[in-house]
Amino acid sequence: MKKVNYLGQKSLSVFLRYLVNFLWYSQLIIVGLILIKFLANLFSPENTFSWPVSFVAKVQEDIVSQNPNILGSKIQVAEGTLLFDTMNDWHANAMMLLGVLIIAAPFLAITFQVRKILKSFISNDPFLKSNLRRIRLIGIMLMLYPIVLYIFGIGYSNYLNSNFGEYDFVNNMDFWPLFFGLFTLVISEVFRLGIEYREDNNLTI
Amino acid sequence: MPIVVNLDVMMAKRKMSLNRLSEEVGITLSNLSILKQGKARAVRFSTLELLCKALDCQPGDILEYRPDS
Repeated sequence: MKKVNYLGQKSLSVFLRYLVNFLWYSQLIIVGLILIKFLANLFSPENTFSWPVSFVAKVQEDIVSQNPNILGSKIQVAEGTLLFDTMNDWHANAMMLLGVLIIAAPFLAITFQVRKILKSFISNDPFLKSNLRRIRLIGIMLMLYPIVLYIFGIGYSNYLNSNFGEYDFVNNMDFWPLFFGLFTLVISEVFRLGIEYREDNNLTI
Repeated sequence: MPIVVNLDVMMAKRKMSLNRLSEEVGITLSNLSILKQGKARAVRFSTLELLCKALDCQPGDILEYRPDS
């Protein structure tokens, strides 16, 4: 059976790089489309955004906002989304955009770093200090992401409770990214050792 | 590091250039330069043997221990 090459040209890394490149450009297109939608919304009379909502359903009909400031907003029970009407308020629009960017930024950053790491794998030179920094960064981002989302979710649930009534809005923390983040940080230490060994090897005459 | 490489001293004593030493020992000039500048982390016994042979000296003539002050 032919041995699989993991590093270098014609290796698994090249295949993985194609996948990650596809993911990277897809993400850019999605973020671009969101930004276009955001800009289009600014000039549209409807001016609404959709956000996912999880709650223990007790009602069948859409839940309309009780707050007179966001009268056009409603929770669409069937779709599981909050249709938020910014009422052409630029503060609300900016907050919506910020929310989208907070959610998208770590995905973009992680994919970008993985692309760079794979590039060094393809050139058969994995033990670089820049790779160590990238792997640590990925680990930290993976670890922080569910925590940030959870904190964001607490605020979001409170916001929904105060504006739409008590509907047992669900805010769960996803532990998998946290686990993978910790694991990646441990792997980064293995990388640090690898870099050290390589340096020792290079400086052994 | 308290280990000092006196390669340049021995080369001067034997009137041997870096290029000639590199050719005789079979070590690249850049590696010899690393060794001469004291940047090397380790020296293989095989390399030391070749250096001693080329310079007609003992390992102690090339390597010296000087405690940090």
